[in-house]
Parts: sequence; structure tokens; C-alpha cells
Amino acid sequence: MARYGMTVDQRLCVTCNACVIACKNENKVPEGAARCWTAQIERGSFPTVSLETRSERCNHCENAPCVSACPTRASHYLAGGLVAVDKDKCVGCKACVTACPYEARYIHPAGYVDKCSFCPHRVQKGQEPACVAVCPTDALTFGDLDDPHSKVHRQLQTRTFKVLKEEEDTRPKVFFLT
Amino acid sequence: MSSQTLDLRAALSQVPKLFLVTDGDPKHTARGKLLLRGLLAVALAGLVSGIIAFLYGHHVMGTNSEIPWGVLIASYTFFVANTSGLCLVGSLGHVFGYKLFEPVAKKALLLALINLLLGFAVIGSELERPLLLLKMVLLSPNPTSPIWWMGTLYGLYLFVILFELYFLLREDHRRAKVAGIVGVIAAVAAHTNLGAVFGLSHARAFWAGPFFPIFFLAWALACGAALLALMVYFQDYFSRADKQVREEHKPLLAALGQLLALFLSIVAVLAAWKLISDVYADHRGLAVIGWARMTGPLFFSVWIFEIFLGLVIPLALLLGPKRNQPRTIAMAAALPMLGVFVMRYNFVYAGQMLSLKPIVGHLGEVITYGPPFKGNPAGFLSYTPSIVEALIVAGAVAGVILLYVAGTKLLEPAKEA
Amino acid sequence: MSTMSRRTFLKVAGGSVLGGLAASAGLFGRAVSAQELSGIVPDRVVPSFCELCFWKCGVLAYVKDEKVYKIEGNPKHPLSNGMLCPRGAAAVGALYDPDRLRQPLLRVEEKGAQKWKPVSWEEALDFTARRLTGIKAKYGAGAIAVFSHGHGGGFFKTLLKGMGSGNVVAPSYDQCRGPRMTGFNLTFGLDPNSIETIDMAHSRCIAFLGTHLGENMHNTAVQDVSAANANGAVFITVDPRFSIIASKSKYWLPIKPGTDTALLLAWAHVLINEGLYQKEFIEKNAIGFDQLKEHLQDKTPEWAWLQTGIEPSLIRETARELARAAPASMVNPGRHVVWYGNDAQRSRAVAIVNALLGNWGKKGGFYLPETYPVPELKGPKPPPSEHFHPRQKFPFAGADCAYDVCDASLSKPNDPANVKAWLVYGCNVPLTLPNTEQTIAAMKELELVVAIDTMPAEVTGWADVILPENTYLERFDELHNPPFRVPYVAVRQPAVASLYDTKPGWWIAKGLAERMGLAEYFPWKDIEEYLDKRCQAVGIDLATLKKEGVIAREPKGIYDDSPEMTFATPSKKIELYSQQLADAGLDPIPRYEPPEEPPAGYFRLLFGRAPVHTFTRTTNNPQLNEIFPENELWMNGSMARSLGLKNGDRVMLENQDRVKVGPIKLKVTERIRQDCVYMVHGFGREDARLRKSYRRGAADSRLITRIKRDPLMGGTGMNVNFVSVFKEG
Ligand SMILES: Nc1nc2c(c(=O)[nH]1)N[C@H]1C(S)=C(S)[C@@H](COP(=O)(O)OP(=O)(O)OC[C@H]3O[C@@H](n4cnc5c(=O)[nH]c(N)nc54)[C@H](O)[C@@H]3O)O[C@H]1N2
Ligand SMILES: Nc1nc2c(c(=O)[nH]1)N[C@H]1C(S)=C(S)[C@@H](COP(=O)(O)OP(=O)(O)OC[C@H]3O[C@@H](n4cnc5c(=O)[nH]c(N)nc54)[C@H](O)[C@@H]3O)O[C@H]1N2
Ligand code: SF4
Ligand code: SF4
Ligand code: SF4
Ligand code: SF4
Ligand code: SF4
Ligand SMILES: [Mo]
Repeated sequence: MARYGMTVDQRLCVTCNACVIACKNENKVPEGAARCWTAQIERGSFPTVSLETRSERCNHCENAPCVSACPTRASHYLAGGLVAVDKDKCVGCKACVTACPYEARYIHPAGYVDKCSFCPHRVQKGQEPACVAVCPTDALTFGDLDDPHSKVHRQLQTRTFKVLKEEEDTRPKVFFLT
Repeated sequence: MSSQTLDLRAALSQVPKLFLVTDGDPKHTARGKLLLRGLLAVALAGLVSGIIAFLYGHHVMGTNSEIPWGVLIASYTFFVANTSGLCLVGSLGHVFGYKLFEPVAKKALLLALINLLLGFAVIGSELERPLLLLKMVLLSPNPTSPIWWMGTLYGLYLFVILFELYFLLREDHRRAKVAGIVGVIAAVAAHTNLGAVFGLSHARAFWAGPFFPIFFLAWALACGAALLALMVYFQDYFSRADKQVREEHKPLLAALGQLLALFLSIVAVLAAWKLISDVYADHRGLAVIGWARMTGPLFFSVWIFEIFLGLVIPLALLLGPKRNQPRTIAMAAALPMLGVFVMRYNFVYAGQMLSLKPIVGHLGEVITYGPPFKGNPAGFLSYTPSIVEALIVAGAVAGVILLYVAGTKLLEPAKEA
Repeated sequence: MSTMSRRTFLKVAGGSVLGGLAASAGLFGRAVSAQELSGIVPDRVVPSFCELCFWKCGVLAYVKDEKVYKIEGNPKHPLSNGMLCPRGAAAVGALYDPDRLRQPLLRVEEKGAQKWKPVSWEEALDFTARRLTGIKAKYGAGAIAVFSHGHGGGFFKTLLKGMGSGNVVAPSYDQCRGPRMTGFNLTFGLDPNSIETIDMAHSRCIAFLGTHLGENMHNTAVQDVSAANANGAVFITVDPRFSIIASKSKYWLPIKPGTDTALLLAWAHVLINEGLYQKEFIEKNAIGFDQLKEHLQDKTPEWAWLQTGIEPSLIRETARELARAAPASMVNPGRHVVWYGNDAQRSRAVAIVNALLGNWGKKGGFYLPETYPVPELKGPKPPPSEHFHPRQKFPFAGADCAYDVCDASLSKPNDPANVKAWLVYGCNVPLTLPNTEQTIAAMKELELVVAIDTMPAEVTGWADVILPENTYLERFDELHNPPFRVPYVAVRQPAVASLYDTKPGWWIAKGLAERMGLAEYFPWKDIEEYLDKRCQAVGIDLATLKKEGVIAREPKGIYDDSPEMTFATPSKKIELYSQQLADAGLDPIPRYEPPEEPPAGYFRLLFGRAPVHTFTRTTNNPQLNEIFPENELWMNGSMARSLGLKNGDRVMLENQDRVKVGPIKLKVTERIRQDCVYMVHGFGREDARLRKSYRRGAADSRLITRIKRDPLMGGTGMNVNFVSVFKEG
């Protein structure tokens, strides 16, 4: 079984937000919410400064607190290691929202909680997720972490990387190439 | 059935009496009626707000994706804490055999039941789809989820209380005792689990860990004692109870006062160490929250309401020279109820006041997030309850009082005649 | 003159609020259910090309129930390669912007008050044609000018030529690329053009002077620079501000604003004196090397250090980096180069350094573009065109300056205006030309202003007629076959029918032509016939083109490795020393002139781009506005502290001429020098009907009351204004 994950190349990402917009249209994300977002981290003081640039989203954690917190199993692990929300089972208790260390979830006006889905509807058609497809800098890569021929696999072998809030022990599957 | 409704009407007609000394003084009766009407109005407003919340979900709430839990969750924990506390203290009589407490057992359970029901009503209005939860708890259970346990345990707990009450009314003491024991276990399990709903939310440093399950329990016991004391006091001194009854109840009140003193002292010790250990914390902004409560934006509500009014004054009264006077006890019992409500509000907010997307990193990095996340220049996310939320809470409190008053009448219509 | 007093700013109604909500509901539909695993299945996917900026990437518009719900890059299109910039992805927002123009509007007088009267296209076009004919009869065709930016503008140029006027101007010339054209034409006889003919993807080392790619979001350029980055190319970013590209660079040179020429000369000095330049290339292909060498002898890194504030060691090191990778290295020619008024000469210095790197026609340098040959459709020969009389003339201008047309529309004491009518296509002139106040004065004085636009922008507020155009997703348009590394021809076609009573540019221009007896210049029934004729001329099947959106072919070869090349200069060589300039009495080799210093307490005002916005074009786009609702003023941390200002404060700006704008949100950052502040252009909108962007942020254009004209070509250097910053109220 595939183990899907994503890499975000911080060297390439320019925080242009194309991924955010593409995702919002692809997934009909309502105004005021987003499934992915950008972050700029500024360090140092003039003239010795540095800037980290990346696009963040749900990490589809392998040890996902949102899933263990969900009373109805609306938040659940999908085949391929995706963390999904079944909106028909979601009662809107928001336990997952408080449980997620990354604030990756939002409350949909229609009364359920929503977040990045890894675009399974595209993936199963052999397409890349919308954000990956649109990215003009090619900073995003989606694929099977276990497949030795996949680009994500190779990147994690050859590049240095980090995950967000490692101390939370959520075992994220979104990796940030540094 | 019809007799029931009759009783109810009879009972309600008696209600005004409970709010004043029954000296037939028309001024007092009028005041009583006014008070009743007021409570009814508030309760009604709460009901309407509840319906609005049910229909429009989180659009009408002050909560959002960054502060998903607000005053409704806080009040829910408040009400069910009362339930657990009342059961525990209330069962000292028929379960643990302290004769002194037997007279209050029924009313304690009644008030516990009412608190539980209104607690459910409040959490129901907080959920986006309350009815679905009832279904899903059964059809799609998730044993790793504290909220699932919360639903299950309090669900069962409801029945335990109903049975216990039923047996007590039937004066079936053996069964009542069995039910009582189960009730005690359920009370502890359900309420500590509720603490765990927060305690197991490791993303939120302020909540994480075993502290809140224990703290919740300690507070629940205090609330139990306090409410029973108030209950006895109001019944005896604000209504028709004659001198003799009052005298009978004096030791009971005193005992409740001492219990309350004990529980409040435990709470105070726990609270102190939480405050201290937080500001000593070295990770995930826990210290920041600690200082926010110690000296920051929460300073006033923590020190004045939680500590001074909620703990210091009551303890002073209860340990002071006038400690055995009913008035003192009543006062010392009323203040902590205010304190604990504020405490639960603060605690729910404090767990979320720091955005998990900090705009200033560990090493002083400046972090800028793309919308919808603005980060928060002030450092803390802000939350103010919406009118709907506020009215639901007020309505629930009014509801508890009204239902209890009506309920007591139902329990003993005979006396009334 | 009489019109002057009469024309006041009129706000255009953006349709009923309800209509607005209805229009946007499909976009942000509040209660849309989450996507089923199947995803939305489109009814059709329409290829076209984007108009959210002027790059024209190929897109695929996904349509469901006659609503465009998403835009993707067309994988077959060589500009997008299936990817988009955020603006392109948000074209849906432009189409469904509830504030769009919805019908033709005519300025009318009612009881002394001016208001917009919705009129039929008949009435609007009759009126416009009548007025234009009248003005031509009264003042001659030279009194009529077209401002154009954007793909549909061509049809209005045809119209104007037909009228016998040559006054076609574009702010994308003298407020943008003009100086670079002149600088490179004088040196190489060729300009890098609008899809810059630079082979960044294969460069091993690139120096950026400004050129903030990553914020400047031209899709293909960003893709190329990112590819180079991924291949480990060395970037050198020269910018007073730590731009996004600076954060990707091995070297950031936080240069003192306005001193780039000194740095360039020092680089050239190092390349020559250390013998690092491409000797053979220069010997065979360039003239004037000895004069250059001689001119550069005292332009040492130590000398440049005093001007630019950049350590000599760093100047040497970066020059060597460039040389090491040569010829697969370049100094990026930049694009928006109208900075300080000496910009054509600075561009020449850029060209000279590139010449020394020997990268012309080389992989990783400047490639030689090819164009998919689509001959123009032969109309009748237009009459000899009359021109307006600019108050200033420039010897090496490649085109008329928009600024001069504006200036010639404004009467001065005993020097009456000689331009009387403007057709403005896709230019928001009040915020696009420097000095908003002056532009507005000109528009007041003009006898006729016709705005062809999609939004109630500032330009429409001062127009007499508003001819609302369809958004690009609702219209056919001219073919696109630019000079590029891949010769291609692309088509624009409607994804959905017009939402409102708006029309495509070609239809408007043709309609005007017919009413002015110029129909012969539009010898076709409708655009599809026109496109078909053009396609047939090259044996392309229009149906196929519509299906694919683009037809491309392999280039014959975009590199030229022959040791000796020919250039379109008088000498047929690269002119390091320019006899042309010498003959005109101008510096034959770029000379460094220090910039004016900011007065005490003032900052130099700099401006640039945000990745999610195109000038004023997108600031009201609901999708982009949500991401970037207002611009911020960047200020260095130590300066902010010394002024007692905090991050997020709302501050006012006042320039040296006492012009005040604001409030604008302050961004306190270490990413900028102390002597300048920075903001994104396109904000501080002034039409209340732009409900999302009205009065959000501040307009740099209002603060740019001073400019330095480029003596060679008239570019309006705009980085020469100084502002003081203080707390609101
Ligand atoms: N997202 C987006 N992208 C765009 C556009 C848009 O509107 N939106 N517009 C497109 C168009 S038409 C153009 S012309 C280009 C313009 O984009 P560019 O050609 O990149 O424009 P510049 O003025 O070079 O870039 C502005 C940068 O120059 C720096 N700068 C200012 N003064 C100086 C100086 O004296 N020396 C140096 N070395 N740097 C300086 C500023 O700090 C800023 O970082 O962008 C294109 N791309
Ligand atoms: N102060 C200042 N001035 C500048 C610049 C700056 O950075 N600062 N940048 C300069 C540069 S580099 C350039 S290239 C110019 C660009 O200047 P402009 O070309 O004027 O760019 P915009 O401000 O985007 O104006 C575009 C206008 O076209 C309208 N429009 C959008 N889509 C369409 C369409 O499909 N059809 C029609 N008919 N109209 C449409 C928009 O509503 C808007 O009113 O500005 C220059 N001026
Ligand atoms: S689209 Fe690519 S470059 Fe732009 S923000 Fe997203 S990841 Fe970064
Ligand atoms: S990132 Fe948050 S939402 Fe996503 S899987 Fe992890 S915990 Fe759950
Ligand atoms: S909000 Fe929905 S998904 Fe989240 S925990 Fe509650 S039921 Fe599960
Ligand atoms: S994977 Fe899909 S859902 Fe997740 S951020 Fe990308 S586009 Fe949005
Ligand atoms: S660069 Fe962006 S906005 Fe410009 S044409 Fe391409 S996609 Fe459209
Ligand atoms: Mo430009």
C-alpha cells in the first residue's frame, strides 16, 4: 500500500500563494478559510538576515491527534495514509481543531470541519494535487514515500529536511526540504 | 399523567413562595412574582438563543477556527461538575451512611439531574450537529476519543441518577444504595474524563496532562458541598420552614460548611501549584499563558474572581469566628460558585489564547503567515462570547433554578396542601 | 477648456449589491458541500490565455453549469507549462467580481450635477464616434491619442491609425521598459523584449538589480529562475531590500538606492582588469573596448564602495562569480527600470557587463528568439499619421511617451494643450502615470476621455464615456505569437458568454470604425472570420487552434555559437562605445551620476510588486484581495524604533512637495535599508465602488510628484521622491 506524502522545497518556494488560490477553487473552500497557507520566517538583523519561505497544510500525520480525538471517527485514516474527514459523520465538536498542533483545520460554514485532503479525487485520476500542479516554482512534490522511484523518496534520501513541531510526535508526512 | 400535570401546575403556583419569606406580606409576594417572571424571561431568551445556535451553527458564535471552544463548553463543564459534586456529597447519607446528610439526598439528586440536563442542552447548542452525535456515538464509536467517552459516560450517568432518584422516592434504600455506589463511580469517571477531554489535548500546553482531571474533581466536590449548603439555606431561611426545622438543619449546614472548607483548601493548593508550575514552564508558550494569568490580560479575573472571591474570602469565612452561622455559610457557598464559573471560562480560553501559529518564534524569528491566518500582533488571540452564547448560558442558569424550584414542589406536593 | 471645469470625478455604480452577491455566490458559495471523491466533473474545458497581467500564459478554464470554477495552466502552452501564478489562478475572481462594470455609461449633466447614465451600445458608440470625428475636424487627428496596455489594445491602434493619428502610447514604455530598450538597442541593436529573451533556466550565475522575481511573478520567468535555483545556480541580488529572490541568493548586496551604475562599472572594471571577460567574444564581436577599458580605470571596487556602500571584496567576489560561470551567466536586464532618470545609461551599463560575459546568443545567457510567422491581415494603407507636439523631445526614444501625451493635454501659461481626446484601453492612467494630481488635471481639461475597461477604476471616474469590455474569459481576442524561445501562436476564446452587457475590444473598435467611416480597416465580419483568415495565412486550422489553445513548433535554434555574430547596430557590432551617443552629445560610455540625497528626516520612497497583485488591476479581485487586502509600508527596524513606531501602526506619508497619503499599515522589518521605505504599487484606490479595495492601503503614484526624465528616451524616473513618516492623526 502506498504511503502518500508531500515535500515542500523551502529553497524554491517564493510564498506566492498560487497554491492557496488553486486549492480554494479546486476544493470550493469558503471565503475566509484555506486548506493551505504560506509562512515567511525572518531571522537576523539588517544586513545579515535570512528568510525561510514555505507553503503549509495538513501534515497527514501518521500519529494524528485529530483522529484519536474525534468521537465519531469522522476524522480517520484513509488508504494510502491520508487523513480524511467524513463530513457526514462530523458533528462539529471541534475536538480535532483543538487537537491539531498545526491549526490545519477550519470550521466549514456548512457545519463540519474541513482541511487539506491531499486531493484524493485528483490523485486517483493520476493527477497531482491542485496545489502541486499549479506551483510555478515546482516547490511542491507529492508521491509515495515508500516507492524508491518516487521523487519524494529520492528527495528525502538526498536532501536535508525537517517536519513541523517534531516534538509533538505526530509523525507528519509533509516534509520541508531545507 | 393528568394528575402529574396538575401537580406541576400546583407546584408552579407555589413557586413565588420560595423566593420570599411566606409571611403573606403582599410586597414580598409581588417581589417573588417579579423574580419568577425575570427568571422565566431569561430562561426563554436562552431557549430561543439555543434554537438559533442549533439552526445557524458557529455563524452566531464568537468562536472561530483559531478559538474553536468558547463559553458554552466552559458552562457545560460547569453544570456537569455540579452534577458530579451533588451526587458525591449528596450520597454521603444513603450510600456512606452519614445520617446527617440523608435529608438532602433526594433534592441533591434532583438538582444534579437538572444540572446534567441543562449541561446537555448547552453542549448541544455548541455542537454543529448535536443530533448526529447521539447517533454517531452509537454507530461510529471511537474509544480513543475523550469526547466519545464523555458522551457515553454522561449518557449512562443520566440513567444511573434516574434510577437512584427513583429508588429513593420509593424509599427502597437497598437498591438506592447500590445505585448510589454506581452513581459515585460514574460521577468520578465521567467528570475526570471530562477533564481529560482537555488534558489529552496535547497540542494545547495549558490543558495538557493529568492536572485538570484531578482539578475538575476537586472543584466538583466543592461545588457539590456549596450547592447543598445553599439549597438547605434557601429552603430553610427563605421559605416556610419553621424554627424547629431550622434548628434541626443547623448541624447539617455546619457540616457542609466544613466539607466546603476542606474541598476549597484542596482546590486552592492545586490552583496555586498550577499557576506556579506554568510560569516555570520552558516550552510551548506555557509560561506565557502562566504570566498572562498571573500578571497579564487575565490578571483581574484570575486574582479577583478565581482566587480572592472564589477561594480566599470563602475560606476566610468558613474558618473565621462566625463559621457556624447559616448566613456566613451561605455567603461562603455562593462566592465559589461565581469563582468556579469564571475559572472554567478562563481555563477554556487560556488553553487557546496562544495561536499555534506564533508570529514570534523561539529564537525571536518574525513569522508572517498568509491569510486566513493573520497571526496576532497583540500576541494573544481574542475571544468574546456572542450574545447568543451569553444568553444560552444565562438561560441555562435560570432554567436550573426554575426547574429545581418546580421539582421540589413535585417531590413534596403533600406538604404544600 | 470649457469641459475642464465641468468634468468631476464620478463613481461608477458596480451593480446592485444583490446582483453582486449573486454573482459572487458561485465563487465562495457559503454552503457548498465538501468535494466528493469524484471531484467536480467539468461540462467543458476551454483553452485560452490569461489577461490578469501582460505575460499571456496559456490557461484551461474549467466550466460547470456555465460557471468557470477553476483555471489551470495549459500544459501545452510554453509560457505556463501547466503552471500559473496566483493571479492567473484567480481569474475566476476577475470574472465574478461583483463590482465589475456592467453596461456602457455616459457622463450627463442634470441640474448642474454630473452623473452616469446607463446607455445602449448604440448610443455610447454613436456619441463617441461623433465626438472623435468632431475633435479630429477641429484640431486634426494629432489631437487624439490612445493609451494601451493589454492584448485587446491592438484593435484601437488600428482604429487610431485609420483616423490618421500616430499617438499610440503605453505606460509600459516610459513608466516601465523604455530605458532598457534604448540601452540594449544602442549596445546590441536588440532589446530583450517583453517576454525577456533570457535563458535563465540554464544560467549558472545570475545577478539581479532589483528585478524582484518571486514578487515580480511573471510565470515563465519565475519558473526559469526556480529551475536555475534547483540546478544550484549562484544568485547575486542587488537590492536595498531583502527581496524574496535575495533570500534565494548566495550574495545580497544591499545597495544604496540609485547607485547601481557605479557597481556595474566596478564589475566591468574587475572583469577587464583581472582579465576575466570573454576575450575572444569581445575581440570578434564588440567595438570600443579600449575606450571602455580606459574609461573604467578609476572605477575601482574601492571607488564604487564609496558610492554604493558595498565592500570592495564583495564587489570583486561577485564579479568573479559572474565571470566563472560565463557565458552561462548574466546580469538580468530587469524590466521596470524607470528609477532615477539615468536609466537608459544604466541599462547600457548592464548591457556592457553582459557583453563582457560574452553571453549574447549563448546558452544560459541571452537567447535569440523566434516568432511563429503569422502575417498581419492586409487592410488598406492608413493615411500618413499626424503626431501630437510633446513639450520635450528625446533623441533615442523608441516610441512616444505616455507622460508627454498627458503633459501635452495640459495647458500651460501661453502654451495651450494640443491633445484633446484620449482613448484609454486597459490603463488606469491616474495611478499609472506619475503624479496622480497632474494626470487628473489633464483629464479634466481634455474634451473627450473614453475608457475601455472592465472595472470602475480611477480612470473611469474621469471619463466621459465608459465602454465596458468583457473579461478575457468572455471574449475572443487577437492571436498571440510573441518572439520567444519556442515559436508558437495562441488563441484567446470565451469560456462563458458575457455575464453582463459588456463587449469585446475588437467589437468596440470595429463599431467605432464603422461609425467613423473607417470600416475598411476592419475588413471582416467578426473576430472568428478575422482569426480564421489570419490562421489560413499560415496554414493553421482555427478549429484545431481553438481545441489546443496553442500551436507551437520546434525553434530552428535560439543559440548562436558562431565566433563572429552580426548585430543590428550601425557598426554591426556590440557597441561598448556608442558613436551614436557621442554624436548626440551624450555619454558614449555610461558615466556614474550620484543620486540626490534624501533631506534630513526623509526616506526615499521605493515600490514594487506583490506576487498576488497586478498593479491596480487586481486589487479588487475578491480572491486576491482576500490574500493581500492592503499594501504595507516597509521600514527598517532601527529607524522605526527611533521614530517610536511599531509594527502594525497606521502611519501617514508626506512627500517633499507636502503631498500626504495614508493611513498605511507599517511593516517593521530588518529586510530593508535605513534610508528608504518600500510599498507595493496598486493600492489606495479612490473609487468607492471598488468595495473590497476602496481606501485600502496607500497609493505610491500620489507621492510621485517628482520625476527625472531620461535624457535619452524620456522615461519617467520615479524613485526620486522622498517621504516623511508619522503616526496617523
Ligand atoms: N505579481 C506581479 N508581477 C509582476 C507585475 C505585477 O504587477 N504583479 N508587473 C510586471 C511588470 S509590467 C513589470 S515591469 C515587472 C516589474 O518588476 P521588476 O522589473 O522586478 O521591477 P523592479 O523595479 O526592478 O523591482 C522592484 C525592486 O527593485 C528594488 N529597487 C528599488 N530601487 C532600487 C535601486 O536603486 N537599485 C536596486 N538594485 N534595486 C532597487 C526594490 O527594492 C524592489 O525590490 O513586474 C512584472 N511582474
Ligand atoms: N507609481 C507607480 N506607477 C507605475 C508602476 C509602479 O510600480 N508604480 N508600474 C509601471 C509599470 S511597470 C507598468 S507596466 C504600468 C502598468 O500600468 P497599467 O497598464 O495602467 O496597469 P494597471 O494599473 O493594472 O491598469 C490596468 C487597467 O486595465 C483594466 N483592465 C483589466 N483587465 C482588462 C481587460 O481585460 N480589458 C480592459 N479593457 N481593461 C482591463 C483594469 O481594470 C485597470 O483599470 O504602470 C506603471 N506605473
Ligand atoms: S505556489 Fe509554490 S511557490 Fe507559490 S507559495 Fe505555493 S508552494 Fe510556494
Ligand atoms: S496536521 Fe493536524 S489535521 Fe492534519 S493530520 Fe496532523 S493533526 Fe490532523
Ligand atoms: S469536529 Fe467533526 S471531525 Fe472534528 S472531531 Fe468533531 S466530529 Fe470529528
Ligand atoms: S493537497 Fe489538495 S487540498 Fe491539500 S492543499 Fe493541496 S490542493 Fe489543497
Ligand atoms: S503571469 Fe500570471 S497573471 Fe500574468 S499571464 Fe501568466 S498567469 Fe496570468
Ligand atoms: Mo511594466
